[in-house]
Amino acid sequence: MTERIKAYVDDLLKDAPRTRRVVDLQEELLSGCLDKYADLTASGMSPEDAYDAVTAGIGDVDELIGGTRQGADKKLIGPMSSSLWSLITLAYLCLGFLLNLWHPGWLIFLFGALLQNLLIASFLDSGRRKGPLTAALYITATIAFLSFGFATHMWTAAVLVFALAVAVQQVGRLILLWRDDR
Amino acid sequence: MSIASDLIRGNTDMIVLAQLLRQDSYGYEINKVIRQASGGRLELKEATLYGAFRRLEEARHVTYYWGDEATGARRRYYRITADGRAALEQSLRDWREARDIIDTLVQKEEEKLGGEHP
Repeated sequence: MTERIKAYVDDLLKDAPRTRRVVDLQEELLSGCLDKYADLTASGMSPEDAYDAVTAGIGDVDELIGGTRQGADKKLIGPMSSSLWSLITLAYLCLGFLLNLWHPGWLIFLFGALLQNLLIASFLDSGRRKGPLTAALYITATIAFLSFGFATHMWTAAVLVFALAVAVQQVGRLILLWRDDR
Repeated sequence: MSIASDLIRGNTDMIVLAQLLRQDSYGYEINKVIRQASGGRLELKEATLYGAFRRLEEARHVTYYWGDEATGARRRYYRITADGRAALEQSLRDWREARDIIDTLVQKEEEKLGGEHP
């Protein structure tokens, strides 16, 4: 029966992201259920009734997983970034065909990358310290890109600023993940 | 849970914190004490209880450590912090004040009801 309770608890959390928080919750929930099961059967309840009582007493764990700020929000990112890229491509084609601005027009894709990163940052990291940091990083990168571009007219080289920003962001994310995991 | 569950739900954190004042404890034990002390009238859902633990942890009102159970899953023990004690004192003051206000406000009406239904 222990295995059955474990399977039930695992199943409840199978769709949750494997964060430290969820892993801890899983162990805590399992130990609580096993304690309760042992207590109920020791007081004379049949294993089947005890199992039913234990599983009925868990309640809605979704709100606990929701507390990790991932889940429903995360599902929105896919559709939102598809529509973002469609709009950017449309704008690029309009600039090119209607105004013949193919050359500086392609810069709009960089703008798209910036928007997408901000979008992901604000959805995944909301309520945490990463959101504002990421935004600040990209705003700094944009200012650096524009200043460098206008000052030297070396726009192609200036683009590397964004590559640098992405690299810095990934390293930052790794550091935060590593710290959260300890 | 059969009594006034909404009224109680809003005070879950205070109830849990108060249980930890006596000694460090873990989810099932706390819930068992709550059930027994309330004469079986209150038993928290596991999710409600763990939700309270997570809020209290984030507010640094409790810390946790793992038990060393050899079989099955480990228990997550909670300990109240100094901040937690201060927060509990404040919650208790707020609770008593709110209770007094409500009592005062509804007392007269209650007497009328009592008159109609002796």
